[in-house]
Amino acid sequence: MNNLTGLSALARREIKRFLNIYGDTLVTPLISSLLYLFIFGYSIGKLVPSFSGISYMEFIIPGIIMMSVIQSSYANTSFSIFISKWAGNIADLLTAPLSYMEIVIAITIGGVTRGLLVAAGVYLVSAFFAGFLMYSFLHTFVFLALITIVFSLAGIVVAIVSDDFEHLTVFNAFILTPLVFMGGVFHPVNILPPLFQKITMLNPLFYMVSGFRYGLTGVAETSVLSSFLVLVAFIVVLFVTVVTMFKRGYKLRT
Amino acid sequence: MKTAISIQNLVKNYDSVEAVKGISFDIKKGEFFGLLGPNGAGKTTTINAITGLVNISSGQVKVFGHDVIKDYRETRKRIGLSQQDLMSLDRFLSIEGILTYQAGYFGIRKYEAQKRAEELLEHFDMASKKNVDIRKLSGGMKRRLSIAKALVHDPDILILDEPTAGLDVELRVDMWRDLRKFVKEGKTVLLTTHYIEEAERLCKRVGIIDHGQLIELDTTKNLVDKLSAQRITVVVSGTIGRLSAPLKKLGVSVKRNRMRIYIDGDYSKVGKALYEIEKMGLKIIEIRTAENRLENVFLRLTGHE
Repeated sequence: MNNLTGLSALARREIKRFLNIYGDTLVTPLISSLLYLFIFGYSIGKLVPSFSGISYMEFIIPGIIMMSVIQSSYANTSFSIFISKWAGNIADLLTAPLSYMEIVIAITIGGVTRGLLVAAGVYLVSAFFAGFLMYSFLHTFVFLALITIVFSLAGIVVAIVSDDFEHLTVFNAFILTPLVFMGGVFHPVNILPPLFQKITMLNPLFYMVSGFRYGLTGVAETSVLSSFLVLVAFIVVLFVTVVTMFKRGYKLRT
Repeated sequence: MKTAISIQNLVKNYDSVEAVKGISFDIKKGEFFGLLGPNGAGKTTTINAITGLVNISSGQVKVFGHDVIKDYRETRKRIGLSQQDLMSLDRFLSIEGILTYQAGYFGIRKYEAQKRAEELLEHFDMASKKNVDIRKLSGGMKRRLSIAKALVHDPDILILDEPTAGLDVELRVDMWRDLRKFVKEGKTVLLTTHYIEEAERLCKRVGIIDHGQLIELDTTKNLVDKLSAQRITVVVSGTIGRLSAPLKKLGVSVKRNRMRIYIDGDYSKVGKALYEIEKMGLKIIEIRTAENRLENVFLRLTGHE
């Protein structure tokens, strides 16, 4: 990488883009999370027993933070790239002396930043319901950062592949949201029938939520190391995929 | 003189459509070069091949000796592009933001980028609009912003795709002055335009492209002289039936009640043609002459006359 100034300019542009529309990009996920915490954690949660020594509210807080973070990181990069393709200003990047790796890193920084800001906001909101949960700051931060990277990269892939807005929403509605909901956000996996437990083990979101939950509560549903390795594997595969797509100009250059 | 842009056997296919069919030409450093052609001729595709906006099917494009694919960072550093489509300006940024971020992508630090943006906004008379949303700009303002954006990193080559489309006469003349100044500084300009007058006034050399092929390439002056597009139009009363064989031999063309005679440097053609017209029993009611302009050359070559 030898155009760090260019990388920094593009990353700042990505951050400025979502800050300009903060009502949609930062406030909306906070309100959604507040509703989830109130209805699932506060209201229904009183009726649900505790798990591994933590209350249901404490159980779902990491999951709800994750859900908001995943949606925000994904939306940031997918929307930014798709709009740039649609409007034509993707040409600004394709004609600039930025390496494809620099472009991908800069756009990912935008998604990661939005994800981290949303995480901080939802964490503060959740403190009203269960106080400030924190078992290991290092684990929490590492998992949070890796998860935002994964979904920022996934957002870029989907935006490049998509030919119209419908494709973006289809991926979100039919793939991402079911994986998030089935990934142990609202329920521990051990309450599911054996077959569904096995299916959940195939869901990468389960490992991500579990690893992050360990950082906040000290409770994990699977090994922390396997959660970490799943994340790293996803990052490597997605990063190589996105850089290759830019290099080949797949659906970017005509 | 050093070659700024070298295009060798460039081919670009869009699925089954061959948009550019193996064109080759060089543009020298410091040259003002015009690429003319009707809509869909392959001008924008050629420009996009130079700037990296299309995947080349075959052939090679070099900028100052660097391959645009292998050494893409080096070639892109040297080029400033103003696209034809004004929708492609970043709608999430202010006018000043568009310029400063663009400079940033080219490795110019924030302070210097802001300074450069301010100078350009001042130059293009847009300083008072620096914080305005681009959606509120007129077409002319957007065009100027697009050119300012192409200039913000002080490129060696300026590529302009229809730069004066939508500009009023005064702004167009201002733009021509700026472009001439840019070339005087030793920079290179590649321009596509629909305004033939623009190419005739500005470009030292012109390439005419049609159906993806380069059909002419020469200095503007030579092109006009060589093809000698001077013509005479003879208007007759009544309907012109079938042309006589001698008129056909002289290359006379017919449109309604008008006949066109291309002189091609042989002025005796005029007398011969008039004699043959009289012989056909047609009554001449008017004779018009057309200037020896690049426009005529262009129309004649592309068959769009």
